[in-house]
Amino acid sequence: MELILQFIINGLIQGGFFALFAVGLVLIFGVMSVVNFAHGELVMIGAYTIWLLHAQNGFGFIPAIFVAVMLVTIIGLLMERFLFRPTRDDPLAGLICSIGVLFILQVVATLVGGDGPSKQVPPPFHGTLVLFDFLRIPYQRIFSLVVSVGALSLLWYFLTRTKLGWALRAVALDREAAALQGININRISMIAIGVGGALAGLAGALMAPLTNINPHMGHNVIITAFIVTIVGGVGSLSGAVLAAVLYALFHTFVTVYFGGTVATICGLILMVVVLIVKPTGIMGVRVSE
Amino acid sequence: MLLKVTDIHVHYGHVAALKGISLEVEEAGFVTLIGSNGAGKSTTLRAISGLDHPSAGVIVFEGERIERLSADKIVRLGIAHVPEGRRVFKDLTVTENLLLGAFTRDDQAEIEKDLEAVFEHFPRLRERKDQSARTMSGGEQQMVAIGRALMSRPKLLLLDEPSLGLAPVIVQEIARILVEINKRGVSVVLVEQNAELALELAQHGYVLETGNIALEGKASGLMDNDHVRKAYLGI
Repeated sequence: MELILQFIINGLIQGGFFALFAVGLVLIFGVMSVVNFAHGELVMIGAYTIWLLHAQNGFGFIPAIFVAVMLVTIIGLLMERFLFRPTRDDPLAGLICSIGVLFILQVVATLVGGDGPSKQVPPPFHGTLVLFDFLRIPYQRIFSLVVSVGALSLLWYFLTRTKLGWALRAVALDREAAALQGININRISMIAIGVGGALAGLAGALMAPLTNINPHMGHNVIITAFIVTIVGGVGSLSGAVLAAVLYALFHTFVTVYFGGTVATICGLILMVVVLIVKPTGIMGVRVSE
Repeated sequence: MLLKVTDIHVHYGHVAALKGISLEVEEAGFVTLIGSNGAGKSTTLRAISGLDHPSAGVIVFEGERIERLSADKIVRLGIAHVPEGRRVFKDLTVTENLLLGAFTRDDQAEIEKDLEAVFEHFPRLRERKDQSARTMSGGEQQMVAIGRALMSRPKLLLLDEPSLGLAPVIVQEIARILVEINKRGVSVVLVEQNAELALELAQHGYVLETGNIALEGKASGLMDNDHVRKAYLGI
């Protein structure tokens, strides 16, 4: 019982990270029809920013988070303007461009941080919350959970309660019909990748004190994001969030008993099974009517 | 003249969809384009609204050339296009769909008024205003699509096959509303397979055949034309 509760808490915190980057991937794919393979590297850049500014140069953790979010947002906007926009009519070209960005960002990270051992960021929040004498939750993780949930709530509000949010969903549903309402597709694409980039940067920044930072950490991120997106239903944001939490619980559980590698393999098997049995995912809708 | 299309050509890859179409729409005019599948009716509307760009020819709306403008800019000038297949935003509610039609506008009070006017036209939409468009029947989705177009306060309304797949009662209801909209001063270009209905509603008609205009004239005149009667009215 105690162990299960602890799993659930840890899984929820992990789920918050997963949701942050998976939702960004879904947004970018929905609006721009581009699978952004560099999404994991955007998370990595977010984590590196924290390492460089906070751990190496003594910047405050919170200001460093803001810088990380801004920096990754800008990288995303540049990708939209100079790579995805010119290749919009060819989804394959956009995908290949994003793979190029993936390698470039890895090299940049290696140049900045060297290729030695993984970097650690000492957690800026100390102490552990103990509940009912047996639940132990480090304040660092509580902070991450609160910020993730806050960011996702803001996103939800934006998408369901504002006209610009409706416009974004409209573009994802039917680009031509959206243009016929006077919606500028370029502007919406920039918003989608800006929001997706900001969330990826935030995920990286929040993960930084809790993980090993190295130029290749984006690899695990993108695998997780794919699993979550496919299980949740490609194009479904609520599906991605739900799948993120479920998958995180699953991943946490398997990791404790069999280790992280087995957990990831199980996740990939799960993804393949979903693709074969229910390709629309748990929340996805059929594309054809 | 509100809209003047002069000798436009549109190509899809190497295929010529339009080979020199010219047409005119007056202020508060009601024009119909009839013709069989693949004659170029939809493409003509797509060229006017900026979804497709002509490789040659000129489109002038209120004295301004628009054939190179993107679709989202053309809406702002006052042209609304109800596309073939309705193309409502299925995951959004009826109200959200309608308000997106007013995306280009900032006059909140007037938008509220126009929303109310759309609900007056289509009382059924008011009953379903918080329902997602996906859950609605074809006729109701068509009403959403027309309502959405009206929310931009267009001077010119382009409609692509609004009667397609709908029950005769609904077709009559939509026809009645189109006439009403036109009476209030909005010009209409109606593309229809149902030539009889289209010629009944319109003042002026164009018959398209394989990317060209085969015939044009007063709608009543076309109705009596032997070729039109044989080929499109089945008489």
